Amino acid sequence: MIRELIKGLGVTIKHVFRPRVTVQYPEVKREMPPRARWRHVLLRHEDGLERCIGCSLCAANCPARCIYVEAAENREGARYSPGERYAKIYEINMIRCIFCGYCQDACPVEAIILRPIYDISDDDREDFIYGKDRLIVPYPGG
Amino acid sequence: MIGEESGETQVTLTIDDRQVTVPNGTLILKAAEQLGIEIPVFCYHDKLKSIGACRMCIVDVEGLPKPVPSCATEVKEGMVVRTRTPEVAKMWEGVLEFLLVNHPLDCPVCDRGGECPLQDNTFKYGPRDSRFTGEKRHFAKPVPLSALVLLDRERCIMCTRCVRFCQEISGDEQLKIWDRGHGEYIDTFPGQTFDSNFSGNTIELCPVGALLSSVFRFRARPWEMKGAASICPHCGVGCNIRVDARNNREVVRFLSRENAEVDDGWLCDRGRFDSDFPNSGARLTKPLARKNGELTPVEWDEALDLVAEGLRRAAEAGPDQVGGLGSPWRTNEENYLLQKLFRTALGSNSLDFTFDGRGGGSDAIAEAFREGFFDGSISDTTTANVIFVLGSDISIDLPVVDLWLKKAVGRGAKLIYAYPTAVELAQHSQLFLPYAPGSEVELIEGLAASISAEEAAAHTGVPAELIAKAPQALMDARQTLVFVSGRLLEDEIGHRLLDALRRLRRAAASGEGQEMLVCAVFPDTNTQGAMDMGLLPGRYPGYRRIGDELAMQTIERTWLTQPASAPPMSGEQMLAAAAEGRMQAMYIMGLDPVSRPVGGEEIAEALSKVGFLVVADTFLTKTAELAHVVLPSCTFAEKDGTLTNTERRVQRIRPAMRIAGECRPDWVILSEIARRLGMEWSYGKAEDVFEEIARVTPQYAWLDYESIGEKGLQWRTG
Repeated sequence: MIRELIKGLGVTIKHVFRPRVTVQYPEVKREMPPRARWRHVLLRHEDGLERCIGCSLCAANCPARCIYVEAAENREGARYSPGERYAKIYEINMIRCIFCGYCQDACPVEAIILRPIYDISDDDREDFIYGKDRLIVPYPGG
Repeated sequence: MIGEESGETQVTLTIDDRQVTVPNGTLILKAAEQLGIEIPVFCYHDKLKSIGACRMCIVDVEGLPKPVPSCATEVKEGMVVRTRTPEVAKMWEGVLEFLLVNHPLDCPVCDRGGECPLQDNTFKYGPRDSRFTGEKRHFAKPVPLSALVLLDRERCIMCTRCVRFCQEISGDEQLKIWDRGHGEYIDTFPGQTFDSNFSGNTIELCPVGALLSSVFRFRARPWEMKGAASICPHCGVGCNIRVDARNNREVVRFLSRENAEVDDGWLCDRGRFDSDFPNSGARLTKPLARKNGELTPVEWDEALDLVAEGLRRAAEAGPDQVGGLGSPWRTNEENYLLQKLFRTALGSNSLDFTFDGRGGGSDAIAEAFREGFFDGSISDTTTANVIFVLGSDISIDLPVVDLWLKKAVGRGAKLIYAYPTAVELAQHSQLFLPYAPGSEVELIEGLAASISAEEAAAHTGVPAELIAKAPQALMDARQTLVFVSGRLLEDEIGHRLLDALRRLRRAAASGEGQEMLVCAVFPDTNTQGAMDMGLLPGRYPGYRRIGDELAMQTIERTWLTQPASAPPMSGEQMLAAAAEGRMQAMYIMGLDPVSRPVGGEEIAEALSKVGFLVVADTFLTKTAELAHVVLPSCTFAEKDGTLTNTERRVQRIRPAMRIAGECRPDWVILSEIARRLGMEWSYGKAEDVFEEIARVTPQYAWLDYESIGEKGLQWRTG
């Protein structure tokens, strides 16, 4: 019996000296593998214009049907993207999203991309609907 | 087969090793269609003449040195056609590759992307990759041809369907091809806009996304929309439309849904582009009741209790003190239930759908409908030898009939146009008779030669030699079709006008095999239906007189109570009574008489004296602002029902989007009020109401939702 007790304690002691598998989230954030697919971002062109043209192909390809797009026309003095059309409303419901990346596949202008941003948490279901304000990368130069 | 009946010779040919027999003169393309063999096309369209411009449809014909365009080559006996050989496939691929050289492939931002013939044909027959590496051509995107139609020249493949539509169908020659060769482009005449009643059709004809609707642009992708087979709510033609709604939330466009008897596949611009009203943020979405002089939002139960109580109290004071106004923009079911509510629960026969005075004409027209005097149809324009239009500017009243008339003139029919001013269609007529308003009866007498041309000329102000031309044309015609303005028939002269038309019919249909058909012109969507449903002073549904024993018995059997036999008041009389403060209560459904350009103020003053005014409408109209209770009703895009067009065709509307706010269809609102007034109505759906209509309206006796189907049916007497 004593032998068993020592054996069990031995396992415990062994693990005390092993490197830790947990990190102190959120103070410490674990590095993701380079190709990890988490939250989406909408990209911009180098000149700061939005890449997204509001074509809705991501929404069409989405198996979870979590994307909602409404398009509008770029006008003189209110240009958001190159070309005629931009996404006036772009929303992703992160609770519904299954992070499959089909939206990224469908995008003809490489505007949407899944990045290793995994801290998607909130305390209100409404807040999980990400609009353009949270999805789009910041305008270069603020 | 059709060809055999008309005695045409038949031709047998082989397409892709299968034999088919078609009438002589058939195009290879159509013969292949009969076999279910698809040949891709761009410039060819069933309603337009073949020009063989795009070369997409080329096929191999045995014995011919070069491939031929199947849209422009007629079949011959023993012809052997091949459409699925490697050579043909290569040619189709080549044609598409050439077309795509000058096409931007901006499908993701193109409104057509997803329902585009060029896209579809490229997927099916086109090359996998492009070999074109140069810079594509660039133009300003898009060029507004008018406020409604935009042109994206980069996408245009020069099929010229739009140009040919303007030449062959609408006849207004607004679009032209400019320049030659690779520099060709479509445009209006310099400095002019695309000014046509039918410009929107070119958008639907365009096989790419070159012509775009400014109303629909960027609103939805094809896969986000669901279409409902419905009827255009904007005029009495009742063109068949597909109402496309995005995500079941907003109506984004109307598309033509061809009905060969009604619209021939076309829509007018009023019908096509006025599609946004169901989405309006200004819609009423909650019932309103007047509290301390202000209209305040209330719950449905409270509003309906108020309405029922108000109507009950007024009806107790006397059935001549309550009245109802239905609407030519509401369905048959709703107008029917309105009159049923008044004739059962409130004991009143004071029902109408307008405040306009009709000087007794309404009785004449009701009698004419009851006896089946009106028997003409829009599609009779395809067979009539002489078409006579009296007192209606068809291009405005019934825009799509304008196209039917132009088609008839193109076929060689004689158009006699009688209207006080020289309207557009008058230019297409063989005989234009600009008469003095009010002299319609004498004009017809002159045409029927029952008075001399000189006498008619003295009354009408039309030169005698013009009038004298007409009788012979009518005598010679095998079939005469008359479109007569419903406004004239409802007018004071209605009686005499109908008598004159009867005389004209005797004159024009005197010979053997001759006939004259008459169709009334009602510009508003469901005027015909409102009248059919008994919203006429003194008439039950089906134009049966109040007091007619037999009618009352049949109605009683269905309604299980006796219909009111109180003396009726017309809209005009109700208005006069209201002005004198004698109306205790009025229910106005889907009508805004106060906003009329003329006489609105007097109506407002009269209505403000009504003891209890209920208005059920989609918007807070000027009339609704005067009401004590306002009930929010559904637009045509949110409910089921039937409409009856100007040629007495009963057609169905279907819900296209979810109901806005707390709105309810009028037939539901009326049922709720009736329930509160102690009536036992049990309509679960609009179809139940229609079944009852068919039981009490002789003209509708043989109709039901199933037989009406997608294409509608005309009602008939007897």
